[in-house]
Amino acid sequence: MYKMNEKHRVNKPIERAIEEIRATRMTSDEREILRDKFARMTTEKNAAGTPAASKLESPYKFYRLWDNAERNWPATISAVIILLLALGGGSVALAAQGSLPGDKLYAVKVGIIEPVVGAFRGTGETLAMWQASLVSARLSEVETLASEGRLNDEKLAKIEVLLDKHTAAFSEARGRVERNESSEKAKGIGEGLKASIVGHVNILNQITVAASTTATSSRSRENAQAASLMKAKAEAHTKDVESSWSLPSPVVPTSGVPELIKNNTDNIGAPDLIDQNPPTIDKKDKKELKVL
Amino acid sequence: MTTQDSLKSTFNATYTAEADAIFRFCLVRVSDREQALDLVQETFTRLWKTLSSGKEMSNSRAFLFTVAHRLIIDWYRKKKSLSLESMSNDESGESYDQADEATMYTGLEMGSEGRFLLEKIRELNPSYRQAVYLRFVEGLSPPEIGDILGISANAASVRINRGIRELRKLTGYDV
Repeated sequence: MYKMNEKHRVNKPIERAIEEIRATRMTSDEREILRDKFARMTTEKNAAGTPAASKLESPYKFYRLWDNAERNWPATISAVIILLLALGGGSVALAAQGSLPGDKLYAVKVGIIEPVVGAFRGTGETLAMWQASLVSARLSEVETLASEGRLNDEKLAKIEVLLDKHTAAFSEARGRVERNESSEKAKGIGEGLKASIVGHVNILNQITVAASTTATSSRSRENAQAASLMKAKAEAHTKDVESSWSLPSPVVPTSGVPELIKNNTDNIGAPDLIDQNPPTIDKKDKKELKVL
Repeated sequence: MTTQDSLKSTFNATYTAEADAIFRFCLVRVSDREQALDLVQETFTRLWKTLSSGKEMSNSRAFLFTVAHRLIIDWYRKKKSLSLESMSNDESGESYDQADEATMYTGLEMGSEGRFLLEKIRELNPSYRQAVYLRFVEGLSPPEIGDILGISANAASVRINRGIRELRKLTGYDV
């Protein structure tokens, strides 16, 4: 402690000031808390037999993290970008889920999300079923667009390209199942897709009837024509689920649709699934179809 | 008594004797009680590591102040996120505190005389501050202050004397 001597003689005010500064101490609680921590530190031993001094948490934990981030900035920036993409990408993916052909996010849905999800579906049965579900999803999109009167040749062409892609991937995966597992399982996968397409034929049939009977403008006529065309293609696929969707189909009239369905039900392998006398669709039904 | 018990006894005695001084030294420089306690903890942890590693320690008091001084410098550097460039030009740690310790000696609960003296010490030339504080308040010798600040005992004496002259002018005390 500072002592008065000949060289550094202090007067009263500075003595008081020094005493006041020295009166700054830890409280008894603070002192005891630290003493307890040190008691543990000096008692515990780590596996190597040396005192476990490092068990006390460093007061610089946060700053050390920041310092490391600053020094290794390329990795830090990459991590931040990935985090932002993950956070931002999540909301985009969510928004893209319900998009339809013609929407801005549709390209994200079919170009990024679905291929990424598909990449985690293996190569066999799971992948085949995933591709079958995509075929069903595309047909559902056609149904939604048609029921809203928004289907046209351009959107139909886009969907056909996608359907071809999904069908080719489905065939490949199903073929692998046939080769590596069993032909029975492969056949079951094919039947599953066929049943799904039959279901869509039924829905498209109803939509087509409704659209053709209410079509007055050129746009609504194009919508009805496109829906009818897709229905015919779907019907054809109930015979061969692995055939191409984009091959030219016979011109399908927008009137007389029930007869066309009736004439073809003998060949699709699941006649009982197709409603022979589809009911007419009013506005309320259309809304329900949109939900489908 | 085993070696371990002996080390513990030395450590506990040092803690009892020096904890308040180290805490005060940290508190007046970081102006944050929690942070000062963290620094005290880290300082004594380093003491224990050194003791338990079997290293000789002739002056544990000077050792503690040296460690605390360096930890405070590190803390300011990290807190202010100084650039690596400026850090590399400041290996001695001498120029860190001029701007960084702008809040030094504020927010402490103490009498007006003590506060006044701390404020005047803060107004000293940065290279004199710690030497004067350690000499006046903690009563350390010039060689000890030299060890703590990383300078020779003579250089420490020079800083103390020059600091005292400057402090005399600032306070009006007959220092």
